[in-house]
Amino acid sequence: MSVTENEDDDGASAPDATAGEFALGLLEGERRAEAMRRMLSDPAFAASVNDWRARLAPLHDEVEEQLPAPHIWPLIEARLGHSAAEAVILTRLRRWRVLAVASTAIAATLGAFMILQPAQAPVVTSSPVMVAQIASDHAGPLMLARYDTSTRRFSIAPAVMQTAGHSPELWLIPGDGKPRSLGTFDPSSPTVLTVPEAMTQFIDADTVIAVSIEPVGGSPTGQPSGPVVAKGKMQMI
Amino acid sequence: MTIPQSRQADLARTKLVEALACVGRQETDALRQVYDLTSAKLFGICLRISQDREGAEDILQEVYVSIWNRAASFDPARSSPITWMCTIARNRAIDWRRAQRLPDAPIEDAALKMADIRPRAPEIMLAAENRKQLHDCLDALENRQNAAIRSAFLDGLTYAELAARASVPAGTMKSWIRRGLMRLKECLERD
Repeated sequence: MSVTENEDDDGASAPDATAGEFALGLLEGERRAEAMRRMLSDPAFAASVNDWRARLAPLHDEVEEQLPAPHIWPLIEARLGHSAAEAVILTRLRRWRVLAVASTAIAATLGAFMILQPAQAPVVTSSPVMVAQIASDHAGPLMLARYDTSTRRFSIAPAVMQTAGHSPELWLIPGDGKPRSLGTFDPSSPTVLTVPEAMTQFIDADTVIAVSIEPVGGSPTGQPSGPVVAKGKMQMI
Repeated sequence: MTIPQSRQADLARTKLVEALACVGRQETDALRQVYDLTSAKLFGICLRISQDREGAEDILQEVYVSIWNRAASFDPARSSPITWMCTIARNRAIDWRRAQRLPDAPIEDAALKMADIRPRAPEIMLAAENRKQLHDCLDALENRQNAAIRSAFLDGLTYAELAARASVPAGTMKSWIRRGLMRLKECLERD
């Protein structure tokens, strides 16, 4: 028995308690990672987790059933045969049509270059719109950027990012390879900003959108100074 | 004439296993059938854990896409189809919840929630015997162990959340759960 599993001193079989904790979804961080490795490498542990799932399964009956809205099935059907990344775009784009209308109410934390979009102007939905899927190489942060060329409105969908004590900063990298900052943003909520007129020339179908992790308030140098955690290329839709 | 509940459960299970086999061959109609049979149950799980309708709708889509992709590897000899699907839904919902870092619910609300042992809705898809045995064994635990295990399972709470809700240190909560689980196992294996 390993030291980490010796936490329970009542003589209970600790590995099985750990399997139960994992089945309940209670393990976090390193203990969870370790349990996931054992699921693959330790058949006895995997069997124990499966036993726990089966033992506890009747509790699912205590959850009240809820009918999903009728529009959910078509969304699922549309996702079959698409890659996961494409599917995310389809779902988010649909939502953004709603979001775009509500966006005037959303305040975002913006860098010095940005101007908050005042409450005004209905969104022209037929105008050329570009999107970029901003992802890391290994399934890290995945965000979606959407840019409406007619309104100069740039939206970023929320992402899961560990940014405590830092600010993620958004960069445009056009064909010349030189990053231009779009300012920092709050990754926990949808951000909508208006790209300044002078910056619009840097957004076309070759532009790469990148996110770097910077000191709070943004890069002190005007260029990415921290790690680039995600990037993606703009494309017309 | 009424069909005995256990027979109904067998029929429902057989139907679902057959439909999942067709889903494994990438038949969209079969997925629709599985969806009609199970979406209310799975959406209930997503909603209960995420506490967010829009979030639950996203999770539900991922769950069925995941079922679509994994149905071919589902082995009816190893687990019941509805348990397999509920586990996918629960795990997805918990991942979502962890990613949101939801603020802790107020403690007074939590105290109520910990004590909330819901009336048991009839459910034909899971064997009635197992259900009774599980409930008997959970009821045989100390109340606090029973409530903590239920909240972890049903609401997808973390140790930190469970501890805050019960106003005890995380280490204490951990001990309740681990000991509770081991007693539960002993009780379930007693027969």
